[in-house]
Amino acid sequence: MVGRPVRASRGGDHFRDVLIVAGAILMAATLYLTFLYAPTDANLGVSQRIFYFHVPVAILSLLSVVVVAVASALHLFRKGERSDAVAYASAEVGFVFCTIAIVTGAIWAKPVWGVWWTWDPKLTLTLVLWFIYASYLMLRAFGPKGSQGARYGAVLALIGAIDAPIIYYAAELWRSTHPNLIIGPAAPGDALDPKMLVAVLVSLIAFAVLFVFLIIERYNLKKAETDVDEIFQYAA
Amino acid sequence: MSINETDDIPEPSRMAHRIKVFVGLAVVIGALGFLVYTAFQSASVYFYTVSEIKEIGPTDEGRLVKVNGKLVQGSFVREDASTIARFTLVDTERPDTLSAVHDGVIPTDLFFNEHSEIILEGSYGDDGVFYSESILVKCPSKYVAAS
Repeated sequence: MVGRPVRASRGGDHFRDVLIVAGAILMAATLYLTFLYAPTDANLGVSQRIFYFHVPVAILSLLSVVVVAVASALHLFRKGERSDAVAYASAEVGFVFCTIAIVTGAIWAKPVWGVWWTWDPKLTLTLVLWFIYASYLMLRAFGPKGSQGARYGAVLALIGAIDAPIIYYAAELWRSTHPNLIIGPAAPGDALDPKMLVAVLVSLIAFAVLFVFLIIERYNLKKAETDVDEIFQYAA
Repeated sequence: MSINETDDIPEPSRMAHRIKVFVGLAVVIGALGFLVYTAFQSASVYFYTVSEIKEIGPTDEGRLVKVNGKLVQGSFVREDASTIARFTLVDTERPDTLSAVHDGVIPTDLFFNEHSEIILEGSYGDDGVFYSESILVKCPSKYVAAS
């Protein structure tokens, strides 16, 4: 691996530029759709507008742990360094997204439910996911270095990813304060006003672009870190 | 220094070793998933319905339970010059009702909305009144534009 250029190729740079420009435009569009285009909800009022940030970020934090698990499985099968770098990058970004999902959820819960937090199944399981991300990152930071640490992390990620589908279906499986599914494969078709649906889908794409961009940046950085580590090992 | 311990194992047994690891891993993951699911299913539910709490009867001393129902429109009365409020909840599916007392702030944004469900945490007294210590409003799972 040593000797391979750390920076992405010219083609990679172009893709990076495309993501930055597309992300900026989509984020601006999301702000417009959230605050001006989407109608105010009949029951929840203006507080419902946080939905356009809370839900996309929450979906991506669930998706992220699945990415970590799939990349980890690939790493265990093929021992590839790249798949481990993808897993690690996705775990860091997922941790940030999961934190934002919990914080925006708390901000929304206070005016609507009357409390910042309650031990409802969906909320509790999301907190568990947050701890899974945290323990993965701590394991990678303080556990064994190199390929052994990568393998330990991979096993933790595979077990941790079980949480994602359970969180998604939590409000359907158990009695919950959290609303039932509004978007996604198991949601009823009429749960959302058509204009609200447009706003949340554009927001989801915008945050997905940001998500991919952050993972690519972190992936390149992780590869550079690994290269530097190897140089030090050879030198020692 | 060996970076990868499996490097010195010959090819066929390495494959068998991997298969064993993955079968083991699959069993562990499956078992954990099953345990999480069943543990949650059998654990006490997040809240009871009005009908259920009436069937269960008075709460043991020092225990708190949650009960979910809809506010009976017009039942809300605040005692003069105090923070004590009395109201009635009705089961979301059956006609059973439950009178409740709450001393404290009412989350007024959605408390009186006819689409909201209300979750009270407190104790169900021998006198058939639910003594609420905290109120949670469960909002509808549908978002519609205000007309």
